[in-house]
Amino acid sequence: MTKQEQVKAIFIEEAGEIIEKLDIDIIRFEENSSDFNLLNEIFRGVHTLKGNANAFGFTRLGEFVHYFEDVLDYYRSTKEDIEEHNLELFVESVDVIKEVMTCELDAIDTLPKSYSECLEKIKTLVSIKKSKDISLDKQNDVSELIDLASEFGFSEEPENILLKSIKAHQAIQDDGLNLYKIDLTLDVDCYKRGFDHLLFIKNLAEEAKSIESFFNMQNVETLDTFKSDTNYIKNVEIVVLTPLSYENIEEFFEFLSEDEYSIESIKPVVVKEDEPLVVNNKSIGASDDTLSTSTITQKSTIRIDTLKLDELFDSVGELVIAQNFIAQNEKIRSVEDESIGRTIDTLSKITKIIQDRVMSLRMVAIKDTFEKMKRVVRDTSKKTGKEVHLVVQGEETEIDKTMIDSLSDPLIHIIRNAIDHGLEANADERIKAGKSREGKITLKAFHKSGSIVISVSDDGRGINKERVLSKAIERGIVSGDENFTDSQIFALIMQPGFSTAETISDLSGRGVGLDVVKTSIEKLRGKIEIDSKEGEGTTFSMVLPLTLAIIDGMLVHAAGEIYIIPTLSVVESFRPEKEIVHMAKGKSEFVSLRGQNIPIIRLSDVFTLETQRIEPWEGILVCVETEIGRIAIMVDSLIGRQQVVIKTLGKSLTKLKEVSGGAILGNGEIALILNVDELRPLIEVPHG
Amino acid sequence: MEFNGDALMIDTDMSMEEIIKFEEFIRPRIDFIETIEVEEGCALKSSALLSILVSLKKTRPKLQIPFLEKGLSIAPAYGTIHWIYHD
Amino acid sequence: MSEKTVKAGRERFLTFYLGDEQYGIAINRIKEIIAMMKVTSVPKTPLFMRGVINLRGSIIPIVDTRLRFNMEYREPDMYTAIIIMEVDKVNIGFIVDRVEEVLSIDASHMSAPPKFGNQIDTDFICSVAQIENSVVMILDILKLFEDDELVNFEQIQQKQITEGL
Repeated sequence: MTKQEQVKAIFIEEAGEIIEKLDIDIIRFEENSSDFNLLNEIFRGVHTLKGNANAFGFTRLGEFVHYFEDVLDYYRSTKEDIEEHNLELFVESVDVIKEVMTCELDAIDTLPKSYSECLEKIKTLVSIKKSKDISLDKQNDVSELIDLASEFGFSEEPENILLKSIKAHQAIQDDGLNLYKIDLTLDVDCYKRGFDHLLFIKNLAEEAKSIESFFNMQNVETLDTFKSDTNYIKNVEIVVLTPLSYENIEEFFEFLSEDEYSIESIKPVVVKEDEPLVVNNKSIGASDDTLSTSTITQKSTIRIDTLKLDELFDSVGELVIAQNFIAQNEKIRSVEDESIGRTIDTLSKITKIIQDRVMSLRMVAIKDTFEKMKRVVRDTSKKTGKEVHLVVQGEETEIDKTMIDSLSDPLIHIIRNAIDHGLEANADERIKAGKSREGKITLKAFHKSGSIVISVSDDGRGINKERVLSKAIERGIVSGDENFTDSQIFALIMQPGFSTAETISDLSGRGVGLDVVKTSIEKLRGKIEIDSKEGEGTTFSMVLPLTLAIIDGMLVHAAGEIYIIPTLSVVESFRPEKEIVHMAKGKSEFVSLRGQNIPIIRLSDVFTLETQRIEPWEGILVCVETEIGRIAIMVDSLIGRQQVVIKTLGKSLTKLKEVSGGAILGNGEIALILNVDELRPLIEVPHG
Repeated sequence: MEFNGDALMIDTDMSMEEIIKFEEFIRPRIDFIETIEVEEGCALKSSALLSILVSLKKTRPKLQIPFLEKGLSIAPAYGTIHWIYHD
Repeated sequence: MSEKTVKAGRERFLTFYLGDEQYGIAINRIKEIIAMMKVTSVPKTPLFMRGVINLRGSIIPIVDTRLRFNMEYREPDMYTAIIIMEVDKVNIGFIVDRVEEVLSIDASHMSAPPKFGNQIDTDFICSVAQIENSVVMILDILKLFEDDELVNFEQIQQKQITEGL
């Protein structure tokens, strides 16, 4: 990539971030259109976007944004109340901006129809407002134009931007890093004394994780009096995040006179966890605003191609395997030398640290995804005409980046489903049920025993079990003579071809049902749990692994090969007594355990392998939880538990449902990882 | 430094000596220059360059200096630098 | 696709043996050639899918080329090799009896494949090259691993599942 291309890539990415933020801000603004700060924020975003668009010849985007900016500026400077329909136009405009950006990036010639329509509306609005304004007060208008011109680059008081930078740095402040605000007020003769502002910044930058500085050049004089070697820079404020101590920082400035600099140490903010952030139609407060406005400033210092990260991750996976091999090697362990033992221990620890750190590189807070969901809630609420109040919890929970990308769609689907089907049809029905008018949707992310759970709850009608069951029977999904647990019944609504909505609505019932959600979550090796109480509400929980690349696995010997069973699904393992093993219909075996009949799965049957048949009481049964209930996988012996790096078997083999991938063991051999949900018993087992 | 019709091209890594020469060069010519392009291949060397660009812009507001108008520069050696020059 | 090889000029091919016959494949797709190594079998796959190997940390599926061509299975010996090729951005290994050499073949020496007289399905052969006294059959590697085979493979699995139930 040339320098030019790099700069372009950065700007495009920045534009993408601005648009994403606009999308969120505009919704918040719609909820509370009197929030002047937010309007300013939106205006700034649009303004920067205009600059970016024009810099890269994205003229169509540029033109649109230009007029949009005019409109925003009008309301910003007049502080006039925004009419409802115009507010709607703003939201529409952001949508158009998103689409046009895509067209520009992919160099698509045809623009969406909405482009010209929306642009016309905006132009009309501009001309109406402007003409009104001129007739009202010509002078005022002129002064505003000057005001607009001065807004170039920075559109608000420098202090605010500085504050924002500090907040942004606080957000990325880790243990061991200190945050300082340094004010550099060099004298007019500093250049002659050999000092340059950039020199200090450069020295600081060498030891900094992140550094941002603000040059105040308002005092620079015109050429009549200007001299290059005289310092006209009033002051430079530097925000720096660094491991250095206050004393270390002071050393950088020891040759300056004391009135030329000041250093202020800024205490880290304590992040409060799990504090519900209430997003209500009317209750967006100022505190909320300060929280998210900081997202526009640089979050990180380096952008890395995710491919490179994946490669790094793979290598670390190999490192873990090699380290495991050494740690478990019998020969090495038999060496009775304390220092070797210690070194191996150290190696294990360091490997673990590297693994954790590399893993953390891929982790991002789920916040952005949740922010997007606010819009989904708004749109759905609008379309269904139901009043909805969204509560968001655990936004800071971190999740694998690759997973986040595939999470949006299922989440959108579940949220729409919750509002459309979960909540009562209207406020009257809710009031009759003794609930508040507004439906409540809770979006939550949290850690639970080595997994990440993302849940969507509504306080609506709840799932009517009888209706689900009868529908499932009607659709032929189940036969009806089985006994189902509650969770098994709830799971039915995610079966293909199932939909409880009487009318297919525009929202969730678009021909695809929850089965699509289920499939996409399973692709991430997660599962969906549904919990519901009739009359009280429903909760969809997506239980996801911490990362896509590594799982905790139980290694077993079976039918001459080594297989890996994900520990997440293992309930217990045991050697059964002969007495508790039974045969059903002369063909399929099951084991009675604590009053429950669990089918026994032989891998040799599933995989049609020819192998010597042993009896269940000669082997080990590994009991696992699957979506259709518990099964007992019969294996010859257990080898142990180990973290393994999951690898795909390649395109041609991914269609093999019973196997979710392969892993390379310490000795270089490959073991297949079983997908327990696809291991089905041959015959239904009688219920206990 | 390259002068091409209306546009003047300069580099970011000008030293104080070069900036002084640049000042001498541009003083008599400021009214004939439409645009100053700053080649951002290297990191800035002296803050005086920012000052002179601001001075030029203030002297002749019509002068186009896209680099200055951007309001910020990002370089590994300095992190992010912003500047404000309006009253 | 197959017309590509008809164009003039010299192309380079890796030749190998399956039984007594010599085959060639264009070298541009070949990543490397390795000696036979332990193959972990993957259940419920067609016979010719011998399984997967660990190639320096990557898991790569392996096709037994003999079985693919409906030839008899042969125990690996010291000459047995795996040719690693990139098909559709994925690496796949092909087990062959013996790797011979890299040949530069002029387009003028190549002709359309005969319609009969071969042990293997002529669909895989895109042309035949006459080199001195011997004949090299040039394989179209994409065809060797084309979608219909994968579809079949899926069907085989489907069939097994439905039968199983």
